[in-house]
Amino acid sequence: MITDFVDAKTLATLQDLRFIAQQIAAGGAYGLHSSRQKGAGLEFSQYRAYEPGDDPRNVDWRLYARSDRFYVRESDRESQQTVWFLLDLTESMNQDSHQINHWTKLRYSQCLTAALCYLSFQQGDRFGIIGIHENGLKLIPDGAGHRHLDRTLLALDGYSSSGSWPENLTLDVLWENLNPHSVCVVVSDFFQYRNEILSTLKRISGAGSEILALQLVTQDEIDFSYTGKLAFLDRETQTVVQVDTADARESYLREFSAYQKQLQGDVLDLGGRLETCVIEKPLDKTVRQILTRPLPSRRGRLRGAR
Amino acid sequence: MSVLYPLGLLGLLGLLIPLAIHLLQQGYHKTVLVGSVRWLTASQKPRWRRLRLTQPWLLALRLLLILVATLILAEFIIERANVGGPHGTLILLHPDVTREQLDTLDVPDGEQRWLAPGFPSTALDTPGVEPHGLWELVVEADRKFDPQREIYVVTTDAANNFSFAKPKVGRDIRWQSLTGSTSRKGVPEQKVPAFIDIVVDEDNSEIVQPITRAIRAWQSVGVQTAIRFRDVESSNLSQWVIWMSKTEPPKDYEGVLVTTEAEHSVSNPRWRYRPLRKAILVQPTELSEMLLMSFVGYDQYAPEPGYPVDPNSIRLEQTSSTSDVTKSNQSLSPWLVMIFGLLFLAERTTSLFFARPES
Repeated sequence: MITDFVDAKTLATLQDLRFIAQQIAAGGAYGLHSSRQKGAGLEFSQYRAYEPGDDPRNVDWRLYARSDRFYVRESDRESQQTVWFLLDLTESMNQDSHQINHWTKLRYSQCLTAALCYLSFQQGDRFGIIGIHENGLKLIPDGAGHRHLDRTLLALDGYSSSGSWPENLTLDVLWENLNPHSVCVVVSDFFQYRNEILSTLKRISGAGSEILALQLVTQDEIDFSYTGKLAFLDRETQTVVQVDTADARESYLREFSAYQKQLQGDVLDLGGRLETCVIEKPLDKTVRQILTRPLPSRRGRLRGAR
Repeated sequence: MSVLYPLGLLGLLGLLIPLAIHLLQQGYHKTVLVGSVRWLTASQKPRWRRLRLTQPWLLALRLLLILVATLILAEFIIERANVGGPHGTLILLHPDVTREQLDTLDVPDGEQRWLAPGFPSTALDTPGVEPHGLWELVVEADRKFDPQREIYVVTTDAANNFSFAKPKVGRDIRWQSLTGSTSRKGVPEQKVPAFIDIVVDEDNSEIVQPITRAIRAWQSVGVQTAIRFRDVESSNLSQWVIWMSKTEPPKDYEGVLVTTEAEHSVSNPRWRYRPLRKAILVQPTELSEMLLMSFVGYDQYAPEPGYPVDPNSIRLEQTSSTSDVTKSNQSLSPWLVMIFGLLFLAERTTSLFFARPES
């Protein structure tokens, strides 16, 4: 159930949001609810009473002959948009919040993905999930409809994270399904050592898919609110760094800010968009931040590419 | 200023404990799991730079705590007087003791002085002044000499017949007695008071027996006594008065007052500035022995049969009493305990202030 991830109140606040791919918004493809089109090859949806302004060509004349009333035939077309969610299931996603108990990046990514799946489902889009962990992939094939949503959420709930990003990641299943109308939502903390996540994004971008990168961070990671002398243990590499947090704060913030800026530019180079999501922030605000932020201008994207 | 227990100063080694803890704590870090440490590696510093003292105020408080605790253990005191050398054993010889007798005793080498007023050196001749009571001399020696010095008191066995309440002193005084000594070398002949007034209440029948016993003892050494009731005029009082009345002694009396009433003793602040030569507080039952010991001489007094004689019991034990004598040492311990308490509170407060929050 979607309410296992997102409560009903939050869902209600998300009703007005639409998941629109950049290409669509830029006019390069169909727009939202273009599936409410009528024509050959379209699947019948319903009849409705004729209203002034309706195209007379849409009137079902046979039905008029039988009922002596004007009915307009409406059909739904399956959306061409497929949303793929790439979930980072490495050990670093087990990072928990120090402000909210038992609230990890993994759980937040599950809830966020569930909310976006729900929005995709509402729009009639197809969606699938690929979880990337140390030993490979966990795939939920793309699909649409209620049953697919339930199946997806059930599988999503069983995800756990461990290990590090795989060296030779084979995303054959993804390449087979990616097309220019696909949106690839990458949910990760983007904590990488050899640009392994970014190289995966490059391949996805090369396949013509649009990239929406959602970087999950904790509040502590942003403002480095640790105090005292601490030994920081890297969850993935098991590297231990002992620092005096007071001395290290300035350096950390400078380095982290530089990395964020670099990552932002790299994703922009790939024609995608990076959203940094703080896991302590309410989910509806994060979803709203993701779906309502203005797209980078073409010029900005080109500047980023340079 | 000196210490009663120098070995207690070994506690100063404890200063190394907080110092070591503060230094070793540099290597102790609470572990925090994070997603990545790539932005922290640049801020890692060489180990020698990390080996610096943290929370110096807390360290200073902890060092002070141990320092004060050590001073309390070593019992720092301020001496009132320091007669003679500050170190070594002090042997106080009763004027009756001969040097030959001293050689037979197991007494360590040390400075030898007469157990007499002024504690003259035995290099000089026997003391020519009238000796006071034994206990008073011992108390005075305890007060005057360095508390670190070990004091041996060598007396004749007659002094062992000494049963009344022992005065409280600030150190352990060792007692050595000589048997068979009859010598009264150096004791002035004119020490016996010629006349003693005894002032009693008419209705106090409890003191009849001790008074009778005392009078009998004093008469045996030629001391004349007179019992007067409390309404006697003060002008008739002799130089020695045994005041056994519950009424207050005459305020202008300047002699030696021996009283059985604590209310009239020198420990009573109201009596502290009286023009008395001496005021001695005794129990009625110890009246005869005390006066004989103090003013007549030990060997002249023949104890009654059955009187408790236990040489081992004549050992002045160190007490923590608040008598005038102990106070005269002006021990710093109470102040140090108070300072220790304040430091402890400050340390706890500072410790909480510096407590590392959960990260």
